[in-house]
Amino acid sequence: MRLLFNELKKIIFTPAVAGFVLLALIVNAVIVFAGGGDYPPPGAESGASALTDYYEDYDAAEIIAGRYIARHGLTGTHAANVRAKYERLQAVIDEKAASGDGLSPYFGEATRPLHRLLFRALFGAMTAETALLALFAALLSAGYENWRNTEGLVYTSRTGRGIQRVKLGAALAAAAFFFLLIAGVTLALFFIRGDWSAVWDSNVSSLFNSSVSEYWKPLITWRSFEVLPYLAACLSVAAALTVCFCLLGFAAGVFIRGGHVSATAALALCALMFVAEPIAPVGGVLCGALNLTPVQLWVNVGDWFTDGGADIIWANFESWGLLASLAGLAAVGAGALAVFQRKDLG
Amino acid sequence: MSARLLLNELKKIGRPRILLLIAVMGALVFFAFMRPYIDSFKANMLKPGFFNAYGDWQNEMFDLYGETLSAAELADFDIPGRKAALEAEIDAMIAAEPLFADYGVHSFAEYREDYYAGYSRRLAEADAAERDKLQADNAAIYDMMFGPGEKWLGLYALEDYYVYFLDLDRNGVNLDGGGVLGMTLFPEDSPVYSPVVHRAEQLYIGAAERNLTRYGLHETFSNYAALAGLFAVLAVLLLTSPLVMTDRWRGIHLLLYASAKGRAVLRIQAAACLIAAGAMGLLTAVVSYGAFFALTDAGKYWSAHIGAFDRAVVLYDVAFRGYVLILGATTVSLCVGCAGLSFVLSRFSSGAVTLMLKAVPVALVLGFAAWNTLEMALTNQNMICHGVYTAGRNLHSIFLRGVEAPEVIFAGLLALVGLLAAGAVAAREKRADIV
Repeated sequence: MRLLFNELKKIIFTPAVAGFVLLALIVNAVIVFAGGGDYPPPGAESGASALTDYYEDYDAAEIIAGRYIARHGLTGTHAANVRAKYERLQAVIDEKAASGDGLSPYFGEATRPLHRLLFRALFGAMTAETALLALFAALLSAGYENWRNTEGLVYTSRTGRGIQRVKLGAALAAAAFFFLLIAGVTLALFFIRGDWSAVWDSNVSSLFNSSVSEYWKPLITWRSFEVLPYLAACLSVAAALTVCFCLLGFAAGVFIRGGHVSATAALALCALMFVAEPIAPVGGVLCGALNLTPVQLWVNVGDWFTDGGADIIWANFESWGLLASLAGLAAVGAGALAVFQRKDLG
Repeated sequence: MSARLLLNELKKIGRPRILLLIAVMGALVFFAFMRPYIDSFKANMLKPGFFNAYGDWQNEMFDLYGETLSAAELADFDIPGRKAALEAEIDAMIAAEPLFADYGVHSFAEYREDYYAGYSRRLAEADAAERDKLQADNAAIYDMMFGPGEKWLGLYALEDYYVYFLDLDRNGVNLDGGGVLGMTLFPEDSPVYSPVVHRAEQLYIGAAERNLTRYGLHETFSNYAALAGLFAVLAVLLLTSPLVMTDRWRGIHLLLYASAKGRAVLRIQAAACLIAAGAMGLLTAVVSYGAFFALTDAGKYWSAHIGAFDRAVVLYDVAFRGYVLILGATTVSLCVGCAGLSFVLSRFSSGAVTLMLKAVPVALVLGFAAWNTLEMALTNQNMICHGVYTAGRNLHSIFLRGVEAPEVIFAGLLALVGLLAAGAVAAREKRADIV
């Protein structure tokens, strides 16, 4: 326990880390207070009664899939994959029409900018910040002995090498701490600025809301979400992504000795996940798989639990992506630890 | 000895594995983000997702008349005649297709004026079964009209720009009640007035001939150059940031600082960072711009002037080759500025991970600055230019409102700041106490 606490202190009290946290909170505060979207006056009529339920008779395969297929010139299995996703989504849309999800008031005409401010801009910033902090916390933790030239002393015994497990625990604890701190303070500021209490049970698929992924379309979630549960679900995804980046950083830090090399390798891997996806053909399995990687899950913030764009071919991509990423990175991390136990550090 | 030291420091910066990583990432960035600009240019688009407003017509005029269009050449091209011929062709197609008559459309004029309003009205009143038929019919009509319709719209846009906007046929058509020459966007008493923008507008309206350079060529190429510039800046940060930090991490600085000669090595390291950055910026510009010209026919515009105001107001009627060189030089300048700041960052970091953590926000800020300097450079829609002129209006500053090429000045200032910061830190270390 004392070891864990000491390893945790090494991470949290590093000046660069503390400075990054402060900078992150300042940036988020700027987004909260300068971000677009005016709240409607209290008691104002939302206009929901004048809405026509667009979900009735909405043919997703024809309209959305058809547009994506035409725009990207998709043929063969790629077109079939995109169409298949929207054929599956049709049952969800019919359910939304039956339950009247689309007629939910939310914030009325102010829905779209406010929804995007919270679930795209703010969540995007928070997730990026905590993910980077988690990545660097793990790199710092795993590579600390190399940095301070104490490897030769600490890792000469089995007990010493076992400290890497404690370091992993410390990195995860630090990641959790950063997530709670940044998300907590940011959301507190956000909900102080604007009162969302009246919309917690509005449906996010309200027809006042929309998604723009190459084309305008309604925001269609695979399951019916009210605002508060949707917020909780998005927080869970963001937290899980933070853990993914922590595991990624730890694996890089243990596999590759040398702080600069391991950090460069970790960042290069993140960059690779970012640039590889646009190269893969839209509608293909490779493109779909690349959208399950941690970096692309972050890029798709704002589309979590929805149908996403043409490049996403599976339902609930964020859940599958997190499952695959966590399992894969945990396996890689465990492998790295096992290798490290026997590695010759000479 | 200084030359040898400089060479060795440059070797430390240019480690093969890092250069290979940068090369691989560069290739991936090219295919992911830059290649679409090349492909869309070849498809006669402005940029990915944006069509050429003039279709193929302006390109045809360029091939016929060269880089400028005179009133005589405009008359020779006979836009009204070509429009009339297209309208007759479309009228014949409409007459032969019964589907149009179902929607009360018997001519192209009726299609333009009545079809969409009537269709929207019928769609709003239709039940589910009728709606499906209406949407299917609309899709079929759209498909039939797309080809000839787009051509007609291209001619319409061409006429709008060269005749009504630029008053090339010298009819003195007054559309806006503001003067003899077409529309005046930036009169002196307007709140958005800037003498630089107004001067450009008057130049284009007053000239005897007009540029025929491809629609939005400045926008296409500056967007492409902004991607290259962003990559170059990030590559420079990756390349130069570990140099001084590595010495401090290994404790080498304790040896170096023991003598004046040793402390002078920091100046050489600063110089090495700046030289490497300049080389990286130049290499990125040459390779990426070279790829653009090699894979497209943009070279035919090399000597053509880019002045226009159909996609922002291009503030300087320079030749395209001059525009390319200015963007390249700006990229190099941004890289040099980045290297100077990276050197300072490296000096104040003792570990690789903490260096990288500090480098992330620096990279974001410099990347943002690089993008906004290069995108739409030398036009009134460049972010830095727009910001400076807006500040000038709000602060009632004649100086700010009239600054020439503020984005280029910004890049130069960034390079200067980087140079001065690196120089100051290197000079400071001559006397710094390392205890």
